[in-house]
Amino acid sequence: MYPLGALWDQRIDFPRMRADRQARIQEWLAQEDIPGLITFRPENVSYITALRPVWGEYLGYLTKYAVVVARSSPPILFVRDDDLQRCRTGMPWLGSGQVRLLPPLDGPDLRSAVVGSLGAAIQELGLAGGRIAVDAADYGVLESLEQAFPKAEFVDGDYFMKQAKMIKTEDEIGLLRMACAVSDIGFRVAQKSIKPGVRECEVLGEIYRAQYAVGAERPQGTHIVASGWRTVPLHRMATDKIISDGDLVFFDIGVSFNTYFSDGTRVYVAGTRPPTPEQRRLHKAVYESLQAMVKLCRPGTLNSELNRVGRGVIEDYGYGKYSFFGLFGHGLGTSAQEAPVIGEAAHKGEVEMALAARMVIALEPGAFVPSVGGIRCEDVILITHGEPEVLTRAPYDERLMD
Amino acid sequence: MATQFATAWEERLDFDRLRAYRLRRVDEALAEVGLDGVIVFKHDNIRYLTGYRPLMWETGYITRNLAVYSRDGRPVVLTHAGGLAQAKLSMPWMKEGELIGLGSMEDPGIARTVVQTTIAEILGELGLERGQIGIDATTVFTTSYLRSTFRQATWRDGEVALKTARSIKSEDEVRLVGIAAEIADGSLRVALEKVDYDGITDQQVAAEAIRAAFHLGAEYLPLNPIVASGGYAATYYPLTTDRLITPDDFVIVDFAAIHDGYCARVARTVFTGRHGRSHRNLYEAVYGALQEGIDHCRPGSLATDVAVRMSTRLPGGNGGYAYARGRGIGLSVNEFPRIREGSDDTLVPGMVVALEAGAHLPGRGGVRLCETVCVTEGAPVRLTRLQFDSSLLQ
Repeated sequence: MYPLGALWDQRIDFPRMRADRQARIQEWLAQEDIPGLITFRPENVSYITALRPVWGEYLGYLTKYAVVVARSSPPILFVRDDDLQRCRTGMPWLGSGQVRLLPPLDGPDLRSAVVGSLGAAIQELGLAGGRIAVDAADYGVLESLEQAFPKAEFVDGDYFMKQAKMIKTEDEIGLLRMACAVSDIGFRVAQKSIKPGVRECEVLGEIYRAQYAVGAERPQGTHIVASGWRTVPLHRMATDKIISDGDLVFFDIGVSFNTYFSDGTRVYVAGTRPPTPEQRRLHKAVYESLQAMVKLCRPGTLNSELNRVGRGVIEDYGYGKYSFFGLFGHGLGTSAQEAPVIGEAAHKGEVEMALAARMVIALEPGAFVPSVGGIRCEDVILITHGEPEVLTRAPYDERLMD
Repeated sequence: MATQFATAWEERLDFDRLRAYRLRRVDEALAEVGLDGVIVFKHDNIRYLTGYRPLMWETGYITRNLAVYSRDGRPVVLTHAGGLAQAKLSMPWMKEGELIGLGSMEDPGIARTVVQTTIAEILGELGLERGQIGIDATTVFTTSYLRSTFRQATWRDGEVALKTARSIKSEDEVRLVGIAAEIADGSLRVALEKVDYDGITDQQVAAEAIRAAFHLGAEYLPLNPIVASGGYAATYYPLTTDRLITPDDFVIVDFAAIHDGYCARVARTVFTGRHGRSHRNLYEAVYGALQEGIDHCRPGSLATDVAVRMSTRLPGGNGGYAYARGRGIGLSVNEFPRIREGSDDTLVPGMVVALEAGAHLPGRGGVRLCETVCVTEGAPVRLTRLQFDSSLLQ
């Protein structure tokens, strides 16, 4: 369970994990017949090279890192000057020449910056005339690549990565377990902190403190702490609202730990005032929806089927029109939003996909009923060849359960 | 500037004026480069155009929300679906039809639907299908759906125009950065109080500062706090680890906070033992570089000159790494102007920058100092104002 290295105890085998992930990328490049891959999204760079990204989308999400991979070649990692020293000394599994300087990608000389760095690697690896998969990029960067390599064809590398990353290794599952334990720590602190009279933002601060103190690296999204009327419709941002006795308090607090993201949602009742029968019934409906979905978490089940069953339970309780207008689930890994997407309500067309053993997904049915409250129950599920395993362990509020 | 919340009895910030100012800036910047409109995916660009506060998902930064804007028009926001109801209740400045729910564009099938239905309708209504449209950043599959669906449009970079618009702040924006600066200062102060060799780790110090920030009204952290002690201070180390703080460590604490979308950043360095002459020399050099930079944050200064002047104060060689630079700071921590050697930016009033100076000597330790500063018609104004360690300056 404990992930850090120990001399006296074999825990997670990090060298094996790095090798397994690189092998997976190579398998997918071969399978899709793609000669080269460039990723800019930090979560993909992290998967391929084991880089721990400096999270902070407001520092430049797609302009801080890049990795170039060719078939049967080791990846080349590009980092900005302030990451160079720590990557060269701290990541000995990347050989000399595998960690290179990425110049600033926000200057007027963008094209020459791109050509001089990534372009040199593209030439060196013989990728200039073929298909190159790219996940996502600042538009000017993509355009520079297209102009510099008119014979290359730049194709999707984002869904490519999502597919390659979907099945987890034993070591990745170990890290996901630990990330879920860090979510659970947050729930415990949340439960202890929601005394009537405390502000939402103070509770948020306590959760972050506890999670970062044990090594949390970044929340999967700003944590949601919403109380009372702010649970319906769901108001995601914690504010200076004071939590009152009897308020439902909604927490969605997944985090990254050792580069893997967890997720999880619980709703607790603040203070000593008991929840209303309607609130208990709503929680029961959503909890049963989650359990019905979890039960189906076996190899071969389609994402569409999970959504149909999950939303069906909520409809059977008569809450259909209040069912969450958004996702009912998603994959997890080095990103908080991996494939598959499960049950998007706002736009149709999501890729239909069957579950397979060693996938890790978050399931998050919810219903938001005016004058009753907003409830979501969310757990992280490991698909196995047999029974699914629930990786998030924090208990639900007993006063909302039967 | 120490107050945060709107009141009936005192005029503080004028948010309507703020939103109007930002749209005007975008109109000017788009006209300047001949763009008819933009589709933006980055949170900070969406926020600048519309005031919409997205749930800040690191890994959903470019896939869960977007805004479409036609020059001199009104923006449309596609909020991640689950946030739509809240947005409709809380953004009365947006009209009916200007807030639309968005499916997750992490999924290529959904992205295709979004492009071919919702975006097609909006571009049609705005008459942009044959226009010059800027994009900030998106997935390559979304780019290809946009290009193949709207063959008459010309797709171009939109990020530089947005960054240009954002580079000069209004009075209201500067006040918001000022509040973020107070939160950053307050949080950093808490961190510095915790620094000791009494069994605390770098990440525990960071955790205390984070707790303080949210108690003080931070909306989020634009980047994780960096607490780097001992060997981690002796190199540029942009992460915080489980290292135990020990005697005779330099400890760098670098903290940034967001309030109402606007960021401020501050960094200080302290020493856990009895420092010697070499420690003080290093600290004084970095302090001198930072002060030099602040002094030159004046209208007409060339950004490259500011960086060069700072650099001359720093120790070089010995296998170390020294740097002097600055970044524009506002709705993100990496804006224009770019204060670095070779930059062609010129400072003008209303620019706000986070200036950083640092020197790291392997085996000896390192110092980093950072300040958020506003360029005005007169003297530069420090928005972060936490005291420096005077004992290291003697």
